[in-house]
Amino acid sequence: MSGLRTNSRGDFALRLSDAGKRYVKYEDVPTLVGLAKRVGARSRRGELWAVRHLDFEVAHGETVGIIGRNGAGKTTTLQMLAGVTAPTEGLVAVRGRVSPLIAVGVGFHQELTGRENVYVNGTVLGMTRREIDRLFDDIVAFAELENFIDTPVKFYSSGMLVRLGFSVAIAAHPDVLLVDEVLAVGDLPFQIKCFERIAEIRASGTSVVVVSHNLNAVRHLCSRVMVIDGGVPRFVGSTSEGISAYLEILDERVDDGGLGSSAPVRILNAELLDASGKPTVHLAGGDEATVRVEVEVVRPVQHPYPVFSLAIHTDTGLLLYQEGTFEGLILPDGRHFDAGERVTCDARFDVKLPSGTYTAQASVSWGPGEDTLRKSQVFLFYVDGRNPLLFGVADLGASFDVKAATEIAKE
Amino acid sequence: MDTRADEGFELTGKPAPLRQMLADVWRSRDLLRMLAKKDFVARYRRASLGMAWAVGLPLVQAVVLAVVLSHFVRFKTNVNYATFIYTGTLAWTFFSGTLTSTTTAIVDGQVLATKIYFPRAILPLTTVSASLFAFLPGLPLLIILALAFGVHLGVHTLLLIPATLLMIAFTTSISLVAAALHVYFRDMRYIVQAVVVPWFWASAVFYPLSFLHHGPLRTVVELNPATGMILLFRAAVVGGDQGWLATLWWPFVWTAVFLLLAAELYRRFDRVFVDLL
Repeated sequence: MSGLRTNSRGDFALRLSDAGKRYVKYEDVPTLVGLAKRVGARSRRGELWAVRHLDFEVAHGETVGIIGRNGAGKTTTLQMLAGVTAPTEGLVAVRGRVSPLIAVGVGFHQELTGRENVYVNGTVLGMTRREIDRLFDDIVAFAELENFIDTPVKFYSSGMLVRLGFSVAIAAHPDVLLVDEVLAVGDLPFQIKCFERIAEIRASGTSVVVVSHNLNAVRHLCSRVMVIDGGVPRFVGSTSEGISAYLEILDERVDDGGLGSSAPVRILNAELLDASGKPTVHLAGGDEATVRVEVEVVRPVQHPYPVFSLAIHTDTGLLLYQEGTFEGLILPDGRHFDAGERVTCDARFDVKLPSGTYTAQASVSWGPGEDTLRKSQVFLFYVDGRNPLLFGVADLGASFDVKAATEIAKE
Repeated sequence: MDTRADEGFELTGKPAPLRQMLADVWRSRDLLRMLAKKDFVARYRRASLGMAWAVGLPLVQAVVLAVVLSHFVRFKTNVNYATFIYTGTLAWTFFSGTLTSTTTAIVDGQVLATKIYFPRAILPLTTVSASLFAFLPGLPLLIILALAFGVHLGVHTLLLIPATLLMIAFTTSISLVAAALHVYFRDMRYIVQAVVVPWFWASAVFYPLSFLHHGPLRTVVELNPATGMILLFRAAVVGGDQGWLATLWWPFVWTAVFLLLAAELYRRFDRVFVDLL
């Protein structure tokens, strides 16, 4: 909050300039006894940079995503943008009213009615009483809670609470809206309504910062992203490049099974190819894709091994598909695999999936057993669905045949 | 008049100037009013006797003290002892109760505080305000009680207004400091709870100042800011204790000291309290 004034008078809604935040490590947080001990000793406390060197500007009306793994510094960044915590170094500047959607329903009191909570929450978000009076009916209508607004919120379902919280936050008509994951809550029709409302307020000039693990949401909402890893920005730029950069970071962390050289089968290379045979992390819904695994057989293994298999999970860990060469593989010349032999397995599949983030696990195993006799490689990939309004876990590709009742009568 | 901080903010590692912090607090008065109301309503809504408890508790304490003490010691008060005691406990209950509950205000407000910025001083101020709502009905009750016991009221009774204001100022100043320190030193709430017990005995709540002979104990009681605060209440209702005017300085002095300390603490730590929540 002040001291320093920026020279930049550019048209930004929000700006981080070389911002960093340092925390004192938990075990070194001062206590009375600790303080007494330290008097005179002047020892330095253990410190930790949560984020550093953040340089970022968001223009009016722009929607920007911040992505990164858990603990990468996203929350700290959002807290600085919300003004909740000041940077240790650098500058954080925000023009206008910030409404954190991270705060959906924050401050709701269980004993108070929906109506009372709307007033409390609205005031917390910076609205005046008169403003809330004016917007009250809209807030309630958007939350679809007309019949429950005078009921204490302890009787609300979690979905109702989120709806009411979202309605208030969005009604504050902020200049900068901070969105943190909350869109994953609520039922589907309400989620769609939220997306529409966010699109509306974007169109009216509100800047939006989205922090989400849901790459699909980021992709649909954001024009630019910042990828943070280990507290430092790794990439700032277009959304699709950013998502690729993020997936690469995730890939670096994926362990390949961690088995030593004692395994009789070694994975030389594994990759995900799109329909044209190019390595990729983005697949188009409805296209064909291939997981290619090249292995070297170090020692001969007993038939029917080695078994190649492919498993696909959603980003929430749901197993969508798993199949393998369990009947055993015989080479075209009728022979089994020899030591030193290199084998390539192409697992070709149709990407009958809706938009989202998935993992493909390509494995080769040399005996029964879940993990001990298997080597795997995991890829993260992103599917751009055939249709953005296609939801669910699988793209069954229904064809809709619509006829008027009169036509049916004729038949 | 626009009371919102809509023009945005610029944050650096440096603490805000005091003037700006005070302006922020002033701008947040709507929020303070709303949160205090919520606090108060939520506190008593589920209790079937509701607000009666707010008035009832100091009354119960006064009755117990009056019955027990008049049994053992006979303090020389020139007026009705029950009114004498109720006057003291009314102010003391507000002070001690508010201080105890306000100490944890910032830490307890973390759900809100880690998500949205508002001047952190609002959190302890909210608790003080909510306690004040509960205190105020005690004043008419005090007057009714005084009349019922035939205590002579007059122009001096108007001193209840400055007495209440002084009580609010002193309680607020020390509560602000305690709440800020509690963020850093979580021992604070227990220290406060422990200190409040002997403090009660040293605050001339149930005995007149003249009960103490000149000596170290009397000096402690006189320097104690709560004494001056309570004696002013007594001066308004049952008449001033002998030498009460001299004790009146101390609540003012301590209020000023705590306010200066609070200003520095909140100016410096306002935007980083959240790091320790």
